Amino acid sequence: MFPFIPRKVSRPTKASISQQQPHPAVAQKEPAEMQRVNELSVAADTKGKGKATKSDLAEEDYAILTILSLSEHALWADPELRRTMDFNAEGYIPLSYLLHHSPYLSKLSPLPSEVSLVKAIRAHAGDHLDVRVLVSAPSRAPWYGRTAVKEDSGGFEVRRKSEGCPVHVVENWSRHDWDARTIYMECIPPHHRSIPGIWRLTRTLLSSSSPSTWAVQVITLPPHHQDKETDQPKCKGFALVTFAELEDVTYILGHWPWDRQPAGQDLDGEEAFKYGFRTLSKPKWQALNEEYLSYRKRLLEEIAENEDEEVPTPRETHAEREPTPQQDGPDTSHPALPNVTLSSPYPPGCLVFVRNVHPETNKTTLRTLFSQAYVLDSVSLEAGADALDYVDFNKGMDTCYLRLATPQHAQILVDYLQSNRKKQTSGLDSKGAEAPPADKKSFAAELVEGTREELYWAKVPEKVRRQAVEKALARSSSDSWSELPAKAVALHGAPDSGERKRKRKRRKRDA
Amino acid sequence: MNISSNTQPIHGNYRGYYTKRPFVHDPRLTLLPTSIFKDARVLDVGCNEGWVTCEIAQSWGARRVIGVDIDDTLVRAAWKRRRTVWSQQEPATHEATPADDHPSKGKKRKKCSEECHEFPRIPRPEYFPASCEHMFSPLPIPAARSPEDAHTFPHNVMFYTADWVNHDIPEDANQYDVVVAFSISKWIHLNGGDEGLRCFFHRVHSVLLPGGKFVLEPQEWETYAKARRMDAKLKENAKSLQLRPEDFERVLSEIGFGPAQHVGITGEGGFRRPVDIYVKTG
Repeated sequence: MFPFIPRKVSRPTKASISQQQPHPAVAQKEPAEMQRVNELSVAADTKGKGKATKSDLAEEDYAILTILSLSEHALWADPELRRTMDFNAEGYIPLSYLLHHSPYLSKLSPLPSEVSLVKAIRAHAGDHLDVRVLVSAPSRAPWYGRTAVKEDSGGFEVRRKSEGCPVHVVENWSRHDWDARTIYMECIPPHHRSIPGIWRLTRTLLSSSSPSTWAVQVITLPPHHQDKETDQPKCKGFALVTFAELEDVTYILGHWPWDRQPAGQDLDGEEAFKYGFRTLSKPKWQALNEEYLSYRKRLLEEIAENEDEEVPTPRETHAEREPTPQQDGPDTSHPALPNVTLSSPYPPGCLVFVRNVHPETNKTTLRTLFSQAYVLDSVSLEAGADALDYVDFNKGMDTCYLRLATPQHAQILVDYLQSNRKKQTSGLDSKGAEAPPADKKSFAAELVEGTREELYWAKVPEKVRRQAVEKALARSSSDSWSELPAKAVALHGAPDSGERKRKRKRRKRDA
Repeated sequence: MNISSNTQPIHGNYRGYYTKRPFVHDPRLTLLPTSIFKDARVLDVGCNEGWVTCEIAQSWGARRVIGVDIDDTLVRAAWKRRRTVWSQQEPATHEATPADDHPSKGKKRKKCSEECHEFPRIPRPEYFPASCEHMFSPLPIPAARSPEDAHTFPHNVMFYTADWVNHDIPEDANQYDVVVAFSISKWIHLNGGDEGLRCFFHRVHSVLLPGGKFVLEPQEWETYAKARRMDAKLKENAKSLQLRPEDFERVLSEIGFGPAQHVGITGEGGFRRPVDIYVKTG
């Protein structure tokens, strides 16, 4: 039973949680346990003093992640962790708990074994963490049973070596206190683009030559907008880092300002300088985020308003000389279908937007329904097979996007729906019922063009976009068009058939 | 040309070329006179992922910048790069004087804007954090609303996939004020031999307007050794090469360029190369 020696409880702004009092009594290890641990950590002890090998670095990474998992912030943010520590009279936490709950460890794939963590801790964090074989049964811990823990026996437990009641100091901190100690950093040099790498880099940039183990409290990688909850974010060169000390925050912000200063300032972090490393306080970062989002909204609104005055973007019209804004007059002859090349970011002219689909329908039904555009006298047209590349529909919506294999197919579909007024009577209606001309519920189809089209494809994963381009390229030769029987062409109209009225609707876009 | 990613970059078509190198501003561009790209039509041969191309388009007052690369994967990445650069650029609607607590206090203008006073305030390139595009998706690009708009980033830059030495691109018909060839001559030389290199120089000459400039950063002969070991064909071609980088000036002169203006040497270690400007005379 080792009582914690309470550290002076000071005001949060002056809190020096990195100044640790050394623990007066170190746990005495049993000889048998020592032997076992020694057997397991033989590899770590034979590490040479030379250049760190890849496995050494990986091992150090584990140590760093464990340190981060036990920071004051970790205890502040995770009450269960705190309770687990409190539950143990000596302040030990089972490694298995960390492996399953720590945001730094639990998402690692593959999950490291307890043994490898022990090796890493002993090799690289032995001065700061105690680790020993589990003394107390985890089944008695309050958290046990809620998580599936494989090893009941033979596990290890770990604790911070120098205590000082960190819990009490930060217990009454607020999110604001942590935010004030958080900075955003970007242009992180390539070799440091990982959480352990950022931890190492940050510490080299601090003013002290031997910063406290706990100087860096949190490292967060902003998630990608397409990431799922369970994804482990990848480091793309930027991160949010929280420090224990405000002084460290001020120092780093001062030496790595957002508006980069010319060289000559700081020789420490030469590499960082080369790569344009710069930092920003979290509140300012948040302000820029908000500005970005509202700017983005403004741009979308601007695009929606200007839908009628679309300027063909240069890459779509290769034959164009100098790009000048053009206004298509009303009822001009149908412009030539856009050309797709390998360098097209998406296949132009292949996107159709349809309104008044039944909200309870599904992609398969819609596919069957719209494929009717390629059926003539109940015979499926060969050229119409695979016309529909993808039905982009979400349940509950009454609109959908259709990606067609080629612009010709897109034209046929739009013409078909315009000349054959149909509506969907139910979610499973894959034929469509005839609708009177003025029926507001009949399908309304339009070709998606210009920036609206660009916006849509921008959200499609690149690989899928590529495939669509390749498909359109493969099928865009006039030969595939001539495969259609003449009657079909006459019925649906050839792609360049004269005066198709361009729809000039003003539509309010949702940002 | 669709080059699969598991072959060697025999055209110098390295993937991740820029992400692995330090890049704040391209050091080669900083050697050039600030007005060289002003109002210019520019061709960037061997543009890779378009980092230099976008920098010229965004910050050097260029009217139109075309990037061309033999590798389609790189060209697609260049379009993405354009989007990324746009997503970090300051909104054009910003007021001239930022508020006191504005994140970027110092209005560090780009080199070009300091000398081009007749330009309106140029939006700062790295205004938004890189994390914004990542977290919230890229900023959409509205259509250009005026001729002036059309000659401003991002509307003034585009990319083509082509083996430019041997094939025209549509834009060539409009000709150029400046052709930029950074770190490309070695690859053209090794892949096409002396003849290929001469052909390239002739092409550059023909697409340049009178008085137009050819900005060449040639790799040095010693660096050919490692490159030619990459591939049997390159190795074979290398054997018959008679021209050396020292001869380029003479060859260009014969074709109709003035003498080389050596603007400096930049880079480190194996990447130290001269940057030269040639003016089309003949």
